[in-house]
Amino acid sequence: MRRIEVQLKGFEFRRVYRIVTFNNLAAEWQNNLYFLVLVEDVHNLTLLTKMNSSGLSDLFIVTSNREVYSTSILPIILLEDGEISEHDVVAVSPHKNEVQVLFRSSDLHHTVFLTNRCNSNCLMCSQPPTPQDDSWLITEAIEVAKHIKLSPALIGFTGGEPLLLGKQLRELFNTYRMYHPNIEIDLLTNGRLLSDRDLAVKILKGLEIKVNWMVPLYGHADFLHDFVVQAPGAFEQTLNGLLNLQEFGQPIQLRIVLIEPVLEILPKLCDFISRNLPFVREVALMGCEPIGFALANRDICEVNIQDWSPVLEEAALILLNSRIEPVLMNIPLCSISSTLRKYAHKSISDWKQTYAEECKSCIVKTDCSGLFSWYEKGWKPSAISRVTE
Amino acid sequence: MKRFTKVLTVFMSALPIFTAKANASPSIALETLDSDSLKPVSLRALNTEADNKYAAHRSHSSHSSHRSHRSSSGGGYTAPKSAPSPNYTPPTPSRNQSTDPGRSATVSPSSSSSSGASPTGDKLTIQVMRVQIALSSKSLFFGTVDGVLGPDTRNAIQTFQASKGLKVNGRMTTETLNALGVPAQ
Repeated sequence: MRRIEVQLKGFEFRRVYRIVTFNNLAAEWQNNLYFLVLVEDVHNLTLLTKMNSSGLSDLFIVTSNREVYSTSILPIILLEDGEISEHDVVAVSPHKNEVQVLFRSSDLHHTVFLTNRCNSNCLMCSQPPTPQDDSWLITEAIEVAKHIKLSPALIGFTGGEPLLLGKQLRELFNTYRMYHPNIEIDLLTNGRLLSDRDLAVKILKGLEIKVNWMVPLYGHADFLHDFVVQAPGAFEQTLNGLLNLQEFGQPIQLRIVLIEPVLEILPKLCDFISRNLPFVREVALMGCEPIGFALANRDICEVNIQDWSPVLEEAALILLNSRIEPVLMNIPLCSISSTLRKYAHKSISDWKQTYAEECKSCIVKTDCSGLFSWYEKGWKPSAISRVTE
Repeated sequence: MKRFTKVLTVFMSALPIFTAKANASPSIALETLDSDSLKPVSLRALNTEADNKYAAHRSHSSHSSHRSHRSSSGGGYTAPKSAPSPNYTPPTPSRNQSTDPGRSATVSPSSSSSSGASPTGDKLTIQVMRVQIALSSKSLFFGTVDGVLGPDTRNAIQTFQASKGLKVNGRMTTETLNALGVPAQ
């Protein structure tokens, strides 16, 4: 998420707010929500302060105007750099002097972060797990649901491992459905805990909201998969989880991160999928994100995607023959052959996406996922060159 | 009939045309459109009469029939349903004991933390608060923002209505709410 460094006064606890302009406060006011009112002149500040002393408690202000900031007796944030848009849902961390943008309507991708704990330890993990109890994130996820003004069509749930929430995950689904009846959820999970039939029933039975289950699979034998996720028994558990998902009619996308040991067996893995898991809707073939554990396991994770072009084409063909859609993600279009380009998606979230110098005059730039903004600290999927035909 | 056909062809020009023969060329001649026939559709007001439940001049009958307030241009426009209010409370799990305020691990949404207003009064309170905020923002209201339609609030509404050339009655009529820019609850 975007983090903005700010000055602030009058804030005690971490809390979620919706950004609202001064003129729209009347139209949007609800007493179960918290608002950060955008004020840029002292006159409006005076009016707000009067309203506050007349019974409108819990008024919070955000401004880029230093005079407003110094004059205010109400809790107030000073924005120096960084931008905030109307209707953004933000969290204010007073002890860190930071505003985090948790949700922005204009983003292509929306993500809700549920926990940083995980029961796996993947070699290329982009979000290395921590063991502490972070259940406050669940409360925050509910607050985000409440504070979003216009329902997005799709929102992503991620972590860590969301299934570690147990049956609370189902309650979270129910809550999101209540506030956003038509929303769809993309859930990133290793599916391992769904091998427990009781939990599968608790989470999946009578589930009304549409959840797309995005589950990674890295090998067609236990030792191959368990090696990549660094967890013995994971392969068996994930397969059982997938079968339980299928029993409850849940849509599944398998995810394969293209690191070296996986690319070595990719066609065989896709063959395994097409024969044993024919019910999956899609298989995502994903460029490795050069961050987190991937940087520590660079010898395994850094590959030149262009070198593996024939392997990718073979894998895509196997999947297509079984009516499973291949989806290429996090791979710039210049790294793949033109036959595969139609399967590529713009998958990198807005706030961490960028292009390289070489992309300037590329004719397919607008369709391209681009690169992760931290590629300069890590590596690029392959040599970047502009596409001309 | 001819006018009706013209409207239909506007839509058909965007659709693939289905005929019995796979390769037949379109059999409907598309008439050219002149600018007179494309009148702009008027913008819908923020609130319609049917949305405004608390305008005191109407009897509080059911709102299931949205009749007699359609705009005349365009066809088949219906007022969108208002968003469902979150009245549902799932069974609450046991709450974690936590020292920091506002840091519980419960998932189920807590009921609104407002004053002890009755369920039907809640929405009215919010609407009145919105009106009070709007009037305060215009420096027309200086009383307590409490969601209660008292004499101060009514006076402020009247001042506003007078300034806008609306009927001065101190009530939250649909025109008043629209002029204030406050959505009815």
